[in-house]
Amino acid sequence: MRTPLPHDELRELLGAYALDAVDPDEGAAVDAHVAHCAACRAELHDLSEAAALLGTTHAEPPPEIWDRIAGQLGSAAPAPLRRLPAPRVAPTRRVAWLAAAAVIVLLAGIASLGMVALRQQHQLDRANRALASNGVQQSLDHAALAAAASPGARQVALVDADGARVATMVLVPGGTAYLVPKSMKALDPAHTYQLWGVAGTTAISLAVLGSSPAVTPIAVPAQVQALAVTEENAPGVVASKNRPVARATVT
Amino acid sequence: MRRHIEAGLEEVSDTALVLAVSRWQEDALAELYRRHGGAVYGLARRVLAEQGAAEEIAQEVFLRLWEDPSRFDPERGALRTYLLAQTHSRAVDKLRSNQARRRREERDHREGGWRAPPMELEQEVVDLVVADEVRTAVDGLPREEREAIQLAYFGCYSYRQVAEMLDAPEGTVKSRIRRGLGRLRESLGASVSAAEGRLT
Repeated sequence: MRTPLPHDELRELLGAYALDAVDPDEGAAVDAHVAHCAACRAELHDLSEAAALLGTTHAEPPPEIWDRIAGQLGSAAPAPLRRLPAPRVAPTRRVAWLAAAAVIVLLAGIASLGMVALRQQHQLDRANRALASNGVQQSLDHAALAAAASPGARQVALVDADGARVATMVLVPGGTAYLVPKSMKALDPAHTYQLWGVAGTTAISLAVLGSSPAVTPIAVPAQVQALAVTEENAPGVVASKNRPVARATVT
Repeated sequence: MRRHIEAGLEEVSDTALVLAVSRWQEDALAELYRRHGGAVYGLARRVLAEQGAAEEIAQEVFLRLWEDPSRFDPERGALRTYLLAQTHSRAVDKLRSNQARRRREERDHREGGWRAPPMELEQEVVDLVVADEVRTAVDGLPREEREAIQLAYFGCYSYRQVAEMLDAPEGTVKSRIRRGLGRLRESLGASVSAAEGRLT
């Protein structure tokens, strides 16, 4: 019979457990332990959140995935009586944490405008609080989030010749726009990306993005109808002779 | 996919949507997929070699949510955290076969040539901005902690395998992982709230 692991050893396993990097029996030992140790449970909660952040990325799933999921939802519901054309019976399933719930928002209907405004303000508040922390890039990241959440904001995709998204522009009416790179390969230090705004037949330089672009605030003049990204020699050029590596329509 | 979604669902919290899923409301699952499908699929794709295997994992995660919504406990953290943990753990299971791991190693040596069809953008900006911050925070970790964490999480190696690969004692690797994750949680704490944005 295996002797239970001492507390110290269990604590040391929490990090690896959060990354799915333990043996099955160690995993079981941690599971059993956190069920009754509040301190370890709290630490595991934090470590698991860090793991989820590590795993945060985004890739558009092919549309077939949802189709396959949707196709199987019917078979998960209880089968209706065959003989009678009865409407589908949907028994309530027990959700343990519901029992204590005092106020839970249900899908009662269309969300009110007030709720929309509340949510956006909530996001802006959180973003603003986060802006108080140090780090310029972190501030820009949060400013971009706040912009994306603000009323009237929209996003356009900058895509390459194959249609793959290279970056996203968050556009805010009357406000600062943000470039959010997605898959812009790093250039050597002698070169830089440059963002152009196209109005009619004129291209105006909007920003020099550097060789490894990060989230960048951009002032986009009202008359810009399209955006283009080129690769240039550092530190950028007044007029480009190069074909765009990515483009987007704004209007 | 848009056609499945009623107006107004976008403003409802993840928790309320899971509750609706427990009442067999398919639209609620569709909205959760719209919010989290990209992150789930993105992680599966990042870790595995084959698109088919990643697609399977994405399907399994959401079907599991449909079939057993009570496994998600909002007291224990955000739905996104739960879904990514499910995703990662299934990816580790799939990678257990040496074949799957070998294919993945081959892929890492080739140029990644997978292209996504352009689709809706709304959820993407938040995830990409968070990913940007996470990269910065990970780069700021002490090298040994960063290496141990990356091998364990993205390599899907056990801490024992990581110890072998880094030629370090197992205890040392365990504590590097634990310390490094703790640091990440602290330095990214504000982003967790800012990025979540929706009422949970």
